[in-house]
Amino acid sequence: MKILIVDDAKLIHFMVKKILNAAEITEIEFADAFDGVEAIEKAKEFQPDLILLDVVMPGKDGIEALKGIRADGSHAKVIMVSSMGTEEKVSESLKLGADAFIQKPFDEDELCNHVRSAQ
Amino acid sequence: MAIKFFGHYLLDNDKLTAEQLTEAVEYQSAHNLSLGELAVREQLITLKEAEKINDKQRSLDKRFGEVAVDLELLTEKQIEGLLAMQKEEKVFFGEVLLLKNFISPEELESELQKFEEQQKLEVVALDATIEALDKDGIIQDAIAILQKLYTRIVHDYIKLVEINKNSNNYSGIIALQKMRGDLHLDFALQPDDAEALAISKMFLKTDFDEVDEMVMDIINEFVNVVLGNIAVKRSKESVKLELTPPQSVSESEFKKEKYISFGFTTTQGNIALYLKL
Repeated sequence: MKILIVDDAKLIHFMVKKILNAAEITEIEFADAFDGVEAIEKAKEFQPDLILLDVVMPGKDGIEALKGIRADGSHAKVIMVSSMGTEEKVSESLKLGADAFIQKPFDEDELCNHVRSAQ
Repeated sequence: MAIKFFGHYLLDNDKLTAEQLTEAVEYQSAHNLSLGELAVREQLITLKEAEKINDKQRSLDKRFGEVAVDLELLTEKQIEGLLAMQKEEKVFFGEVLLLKNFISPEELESELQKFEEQQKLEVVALDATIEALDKDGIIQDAIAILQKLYTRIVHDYIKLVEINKNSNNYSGIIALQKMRGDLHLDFALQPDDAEALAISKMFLKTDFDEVDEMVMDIINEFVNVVLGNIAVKRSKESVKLELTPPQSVSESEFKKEKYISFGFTTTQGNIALYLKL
């Protein structure tokens, strides 16, 4: 399974990998992107099955990245992982083709369940 | 800093030595076990299971017992038994001081009274200041959500001890994030080094020895989580908001005098919160 992690904070990349590893969710190939532009590029190149996408990022944010990723025809499952889970952002994301929205601080089990269901 | 805990008050007033305070706190923490520690001691769950419950608690607004029951690791009856045991075994700080003959019963009573008087006066003063500054209630939200998330993530006590005073006494890394849109709020946190390491340890479940780039990232992320949750609360009132990414700012770049400052104390260290409306 291929997962693309998109967050401007390196920490989140480290945390997600640590959580999935601790939950013994293995055989995952990871790719990392740190802003919206890179997310769109990596989604095209890497062809992930699942994208964990932050909303608040410098430059092109997660909502803009989601538009670009879907415009490129990616059918990856997209989970928005953000502290910015306002009603407006959640409904906008879902309308644009996100599959779920996880509000930070996130429940580790919720994250693992989403990953397992995408496997 | 203003008042901390009763133990620190006694220390500041030369009623207790630092060694006595440490000994009393250690005695108390060895006897006042958390529900998880008790459940492990009573062999109802394993240490690994207790950690699993604690981890889940970190992200949910639930008590240890509720999470343990949800995960089917403990029954409600077992939780009731553990709570009764916890209550029976609980030792108060004052009791420890008497038990160890660090203070006489008369002195304990009179110092407790003085301490409580001081606490009351301080709380009234803080409330009046906040109300005058905070027409939209966003300062109240910022303080309440910071305290709630700090407790949930770091599993520690946090208390607001001063407003717009002694902000130059706070040092350490500064994480700043801005909320824009229908409401404007610049939100910055400055934990001292001990506090930054404590937050990082609980956030990532990894020990840190020094404030490095990863610790700075964690404090930025902590700010992001707090401000994001403030935005979520406000968005329920149909307010449109955007957040800038959080960033680390050096002390020299950060103009403290332009912000309203709030000093918090925890058992780990101190945190300054700076807000600009």
